[in-house]
Amino acid sequence: MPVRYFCYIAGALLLFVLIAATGTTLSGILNNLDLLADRIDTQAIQSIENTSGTVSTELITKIKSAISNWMLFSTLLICLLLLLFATPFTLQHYRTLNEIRNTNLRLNNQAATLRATHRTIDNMLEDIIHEKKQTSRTSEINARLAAIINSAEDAIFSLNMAGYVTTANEAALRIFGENCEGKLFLNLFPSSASTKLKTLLMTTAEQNAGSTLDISIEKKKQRIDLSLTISPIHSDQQEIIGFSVIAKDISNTKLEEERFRMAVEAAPNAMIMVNQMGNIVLINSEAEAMFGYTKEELIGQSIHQLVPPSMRSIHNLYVQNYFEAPDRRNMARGSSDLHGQRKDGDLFPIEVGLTPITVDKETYVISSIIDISERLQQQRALKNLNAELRRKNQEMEQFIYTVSHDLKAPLVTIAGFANRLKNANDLPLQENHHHKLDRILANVRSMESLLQDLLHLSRIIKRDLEKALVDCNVTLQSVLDSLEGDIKKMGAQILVEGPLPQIYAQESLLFQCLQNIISNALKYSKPGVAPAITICTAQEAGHSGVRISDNGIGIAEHHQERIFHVFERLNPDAAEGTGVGLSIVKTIMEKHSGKIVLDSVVGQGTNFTILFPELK
Amino acid sequence: MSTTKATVLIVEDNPDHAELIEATILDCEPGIKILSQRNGEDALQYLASLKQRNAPLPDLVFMDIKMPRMNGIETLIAIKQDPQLHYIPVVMLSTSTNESEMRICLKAGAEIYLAKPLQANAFEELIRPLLERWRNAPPHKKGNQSL
Repeated sequence: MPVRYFCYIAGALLLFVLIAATGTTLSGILNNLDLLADRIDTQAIQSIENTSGTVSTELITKIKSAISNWMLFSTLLICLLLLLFATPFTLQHYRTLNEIRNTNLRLNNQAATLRATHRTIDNMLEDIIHEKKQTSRTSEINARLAAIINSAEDAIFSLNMAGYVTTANEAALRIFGENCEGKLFLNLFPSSASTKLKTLLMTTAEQNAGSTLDISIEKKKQRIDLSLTISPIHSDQQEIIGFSVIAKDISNTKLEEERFRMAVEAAPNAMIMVNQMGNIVLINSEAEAMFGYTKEELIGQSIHQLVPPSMRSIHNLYVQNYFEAPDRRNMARGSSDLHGQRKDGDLFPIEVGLTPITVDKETYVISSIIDISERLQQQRALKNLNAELRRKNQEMEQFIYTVSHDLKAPLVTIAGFANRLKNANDLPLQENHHHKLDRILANVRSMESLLQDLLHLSRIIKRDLEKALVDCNVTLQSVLDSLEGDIKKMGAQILVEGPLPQIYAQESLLFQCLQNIISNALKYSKPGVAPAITICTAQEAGHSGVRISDNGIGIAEHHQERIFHVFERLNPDAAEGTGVGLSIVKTIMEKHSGKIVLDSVVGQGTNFTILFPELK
Repeated sequence: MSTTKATVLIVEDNPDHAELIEATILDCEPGIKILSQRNGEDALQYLASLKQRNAPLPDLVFMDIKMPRMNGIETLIAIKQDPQLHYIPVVMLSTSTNESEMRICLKAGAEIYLAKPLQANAFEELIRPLLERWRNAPPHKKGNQSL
């Protein structure tokens, strides 16, 4: 160190000397340069040619030597100075470098140690953070679970092994009362259910598996239906340390079920509800009564139990088929030999309506079953009755025919013998005998025409119609021709307001109708007044026909119904007839599904309208 | 008249009617030979026995329609289908005449359909010509020519 200081002082001195020497040299140069400058000025005025060369050379040589002296000296000086300063600094530098290297080495070692420590600390920190996170998650989950349990609609309890309630959620408190925690679980339920519950808890513990039970309690005089699910709670060592109980309030579901059941129960038909497996899930009392089983015997059983054995396999196919495309329809679409089988094996005819319903994405079918034995019996009875009626009708017709014939046979005999008597030449008959025989013959004729009309009527009833399109104008003309004699005799005026319509009828029967009505109009005319008969077209919705109006004696309203009865005659003395004519007209119109309308005022006249259905 | 030896067969179940028919026929044709049978079955048996004995057959048959055991229409058909009997004219007599019955009888081969009782004028106008025709030219003597 003292050497270094000495060197610094020597260096400073030398610098001082150097600067001084440099200053001196530089001032010498400056002086010479000033001289040179002066000389150049003066010589420039006298002559420039001869002297200037010599002076300049001399001066430049002097400057050159001064500069080289300075340069040599300063070079030497700088070298000396460098030597003086550099040596101690270099030494010092090496020493310092060495020290730095050592320190660096030491520091590196320390850094490695530190890094290792850091890593350990990092790991520890990470663990700590993870643990912290885990803890907060668990507590979050726990909080959430607690919230879920608390806000659950279902009552949730935990019980200890002794069966006491250890915790209860809000729903539990609401359903079972605020003070249920700490109570014996069984005491929360009516005593009637305690045996069942005890068994259930024991089974849960024994089998180490959850079990369920539907139970109902009374709260504020209101029935609450609960579905209990009891499950064991395990410790970490898988030992049962208690029970969890979830009590679901199924009152609403029960109520809906009850309503549905009541609706099914109240149905007037036998109702059976079947699931997709073909098993019975619901049945009403009507069905119980119909098949002779109790509900308990049928619920859960296959519907095939109610099907005759011979039909079971095909019925199975039908059930499967139905569930593939369920629709509302009648079973077996119109088949009449669908049968059910009672418990006692009896088969009975049924009609089944099917309606699919979907509950909780599961399809069921409700079958509405009607026992049609009675209906079939009635149908058979009706059929028999119909056949009986038809037979009776035939018998009646046969009877009318036979009676007419057999009644006529004695008439033939009476008339025959009376005629023979009347015409006998060998008998002395008196005038009054002839009169008596005439009366006999007249009555025979009257009886004959009655029987003739009766026969005629029975034939109209018996025979099938042969309908065709008939022109009323043509038929009317034939009728008028057939009555020509009577018309002339009566001096009647016939007015036809044509053209008359064409109708669909049996021509001979239309002829008969017109003839009977017009002949009546001629017969029942007012005494002393020539009959005036008008015939025109009559129309009514879907019907067309003919109206015949006369100016005759007319028919009192209270007789208007009677005149269509067989053998009914209002004025037997007014004209000849059997009283069958209008009966025949009415029968003919009924046979044609047509109608006859009577409109008459006593003393003014009568309108008969016959209407035939129009051809569609 | 050459009908004195004519023979007619009356098939009638009602004895009164049979008597009246007989009386009317005799009124119109005294001396005519009249045979009687009470129903169709008896009549056919009688005719069969005549055929068997080769005895002369009746020249005309009066046939009632409604009879027990075998009615007039069935008997008519049997007669008209028999090759030895079919030429005999048959007069159907009905108690209750009607169109369809008449059509059936004429279709089955009856010559005449009349309502009872048989009247003298009907005999004169319708039956006598028939009798005369067959008596003058009996078809069974010219071979079984069809009607």
